[in-house]
Amino acid sequence: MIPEGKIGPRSVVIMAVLAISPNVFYASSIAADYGLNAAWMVILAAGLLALIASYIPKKLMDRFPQQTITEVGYQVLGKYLGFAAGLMIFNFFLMDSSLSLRLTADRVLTAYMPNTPVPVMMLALLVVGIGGAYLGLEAIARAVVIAHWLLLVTVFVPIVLTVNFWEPDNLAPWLGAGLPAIGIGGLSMIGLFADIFLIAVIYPSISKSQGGNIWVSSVFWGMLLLVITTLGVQLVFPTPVLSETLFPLTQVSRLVYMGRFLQRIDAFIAFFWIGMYAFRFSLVFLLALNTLTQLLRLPYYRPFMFSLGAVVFALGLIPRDIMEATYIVTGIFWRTSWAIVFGLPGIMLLVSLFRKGVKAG
Amino acid sequence: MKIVKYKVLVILMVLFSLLPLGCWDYQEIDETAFVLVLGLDKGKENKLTVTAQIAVPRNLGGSALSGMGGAGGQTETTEVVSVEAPTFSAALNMMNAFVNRRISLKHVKSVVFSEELAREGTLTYLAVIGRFPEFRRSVFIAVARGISARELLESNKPVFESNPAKYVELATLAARFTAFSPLQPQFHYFYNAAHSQGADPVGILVATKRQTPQGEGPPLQGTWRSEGDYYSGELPRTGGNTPELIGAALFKGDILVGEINGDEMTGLMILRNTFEQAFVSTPDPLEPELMTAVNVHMYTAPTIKIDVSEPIPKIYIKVMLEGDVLGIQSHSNFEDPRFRYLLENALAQRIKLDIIKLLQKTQDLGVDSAWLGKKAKKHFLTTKQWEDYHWKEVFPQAPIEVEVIVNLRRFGLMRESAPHPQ
Repeated sequence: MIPEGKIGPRSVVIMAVLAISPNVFYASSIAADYGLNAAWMVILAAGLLALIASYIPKKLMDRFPQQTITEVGYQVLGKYLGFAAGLMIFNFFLMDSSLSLRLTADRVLTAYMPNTPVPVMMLALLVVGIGGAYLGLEAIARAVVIAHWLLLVTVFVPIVLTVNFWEPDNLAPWLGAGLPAIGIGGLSMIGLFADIFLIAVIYPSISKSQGGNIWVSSVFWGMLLLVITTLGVQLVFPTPVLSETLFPLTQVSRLVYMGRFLQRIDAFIAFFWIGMYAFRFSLVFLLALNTLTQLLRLPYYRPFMFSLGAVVFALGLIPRDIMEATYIVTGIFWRTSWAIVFGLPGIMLLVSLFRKGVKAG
Repeated sequence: MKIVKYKVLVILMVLFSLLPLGCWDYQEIDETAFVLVLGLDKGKENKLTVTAQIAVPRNLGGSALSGMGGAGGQTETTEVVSVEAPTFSAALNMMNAFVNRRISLKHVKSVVFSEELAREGTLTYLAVIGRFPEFRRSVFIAVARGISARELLESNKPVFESNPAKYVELATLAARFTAFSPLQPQFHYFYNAAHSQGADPVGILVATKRQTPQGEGPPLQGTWRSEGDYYSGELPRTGGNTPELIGAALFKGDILVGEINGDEMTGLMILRNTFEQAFVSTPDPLEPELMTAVNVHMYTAPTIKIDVSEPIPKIYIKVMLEGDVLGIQSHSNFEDPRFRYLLENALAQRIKLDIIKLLQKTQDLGVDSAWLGKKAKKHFLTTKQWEDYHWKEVFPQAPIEVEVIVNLRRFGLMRESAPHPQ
């Protein structure tokens, strides 16, 4: 285990929700592709599936409370398979960091600063990520606890301020594409909640004396955030328009118009949203560093900061354009990340239960 | 030490948010030409004529400082430029050949189409608003009636405002108390309705004042003509701003197919539940050659029941309004409950007639401007079931029953009308 300060369960839940929260900017648009008018139900289905599936990593980590998921992999699967499992986990966070870096840069530039080059924005974000990683998990957790209200409230501000544009009729027909499509959409979007996997990486650093199910709480609050924002966006945009919009919530913020005196507040809100992106990137970058260090069984992650930062930056430049980057996240990452977040712990749990000689931690 | 750590992180986050803003995307205000209103016409020398009414900030500021200021002052607050171009965005480029400041669309308030262009379809050009970050979906969509968009913009010199952007907003928001023009004319509603299976868009109908002088138009037929029985460009008037807004443009999808007058617009606003209040005149039920005037406002949202159990839907609409009496020329005692119902019924009949005329017109044109389809789709469980009903095909054949109830609540500062002195 890498030496870190202890953080409370509340901080962990807040970190997980904040890691999930940037999905609010485009999840509704993708969900509308699956569920049409019932896009919010697709998100709800994905959340409920994630709630059920979160029992698997919870059960596994509860058996090994003093170890991280990578260390559990070594113990349960052995040297070689454990390494392979650790490599997959590291790869998960590496991809998460790179895609997060690229998509964040692309989103900010598309909506607010169209003339700024993508690498410049990525580099600025990377500096924050490296800074956050240098300060460590406890510093990120405390900063997140302080800032989370402000960051999350700004997600709801444009939805509330566009109340004059709400049209509840947009939600009808209520079942949209139908129950089977909602179910398929839910399965395909379960990756929205993949970031709860961070709990398994920092598990030994969590103070468990205060009780509560951090897995369920993280998914529940993340789901609530996504369902409410999707409903809010759907009240403003009918399905065909929602489907074609790249960043529905950003468009909602640009729509705020409450007379001559309250309009054009999107630039103010964007300031906080960029902060939210920055927090998320700092966190996933730190997790990538952590899992790499755990994989190589090294005591410190800081020597890797700049080299891994360069790798994350380079990988982030691979997608040809914003469409390809978005597709990789929504079409591949969201659809397949369940295998790492729930599948891999499931295998480890089964092996730990049935393989002789594996002792619970 | 720990506290210092997370404070450093917070500061770093804040700095990150601020720093990149200044390098590449800076735009000096005094190097930018802010377009306030855009006009689109069919071109003669190229595909499209794009006209832009651009703010002259120095004069705008000067006018504001001198109180009312405005176009009545010595300096122009806007400059109208026009160019013929193959596309909308090409026109912006071409404008910068003779406008030294960089053209910016960040403050565009309204896009005006000529009738000719609107009849060919608007989304060809409006699609850019949904995509181009400089535009906002709160831009108003209007159609110039009987005049080109370029001519309209050239004549747009507000008398009461120095700031044309404020003029556009106030002129549009007047619908809140006149109910003569759409109160939801934004691109957002237009685009959404154009893409909807259960709605069609409506735009502002704008024209310049008529050429015929006041008093020399067609003579009055009968004893009166309703205040809303006019289209833009027809009001018998003198003075005021050159453009006038009364009525609305009806679209089928994104194509202009017809127009409605101010009275029908009031009916449309009532059905869409955007009606707030309006002065409505009606003949006195006891002395029909004299008039009464009532300030009408909504009591509740209209009840719209749609029976979709048959292939052809049946529609029932119930509208409940309240009124405050403004004037009774005959001095009839409508404050007395024994006579009040007469005036209430007369008002209800008048408004019902406006609504029926509107619905008849929309059904004849095959457009659902009242967005009744949005109510109908609630009766379907899935999108496929709703699409299979083919609302836009069956709506024109639907029998519609309308019931209007008006309750007079206030009678101004008088308790009862004294008999006329003669």
